[in-house]
Amino acid sequence: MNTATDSMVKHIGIKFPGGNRSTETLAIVPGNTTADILAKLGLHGSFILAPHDDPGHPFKPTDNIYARVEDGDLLVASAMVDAGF
Amino acid sequence: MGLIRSLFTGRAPQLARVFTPPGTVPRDRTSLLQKRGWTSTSRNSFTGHFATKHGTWPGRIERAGDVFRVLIHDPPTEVVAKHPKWSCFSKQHDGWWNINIRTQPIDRDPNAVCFYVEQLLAEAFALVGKA
Repeated sequence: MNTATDSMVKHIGIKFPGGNRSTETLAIVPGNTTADILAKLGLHGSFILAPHDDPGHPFKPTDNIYARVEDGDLLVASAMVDAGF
Repeated sequence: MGLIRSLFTGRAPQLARVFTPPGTVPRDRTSLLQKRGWTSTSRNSFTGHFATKHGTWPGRIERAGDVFRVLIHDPPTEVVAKHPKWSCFSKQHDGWWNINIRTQPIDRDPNAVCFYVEQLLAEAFALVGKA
């Protein structure tokens, strides 16, 4: 009955660099942003999301993640760190 | 239906955590530092290599309270010099460079620091590649 809707869902894995939280799987739909995903994971502010195979290009908080990933992709959620003075 | 409705109402579309039976998805609890083979000489001092697809560099991460001190040995200076964060690198002695960290990880996780340094190195190589 919900075939059209279900076919729009993408499943992504979220890894954490630390060892005290295991990989989680999320079902995302069109329009889901980085901020939506971090909020769902309980990571409010001060965290970033990046492609697992391309950590040099983290997503911006407002990026539409659904449009940027494929079903089955793996992302990394990490506490924000920044060099500076 | 919820998705279709949200597309038209402008409300944030729902996303869901997926719960799978044990064993369906590998539950990897290996930390980044463990994967990289880092060792800890004390509870607050870690030694290993920062790794990117462009190479690996020896590193040290030391924690003093909530503050991390990060050192990298013989970094690719010709590449990192093109990165906006180059000014945060300061030469120490015996080939070691300090990376001054302004924003410390809120969860005090040294893995996040390692992830950041590797991210910074990858960004630097990407910038040089574009030039």
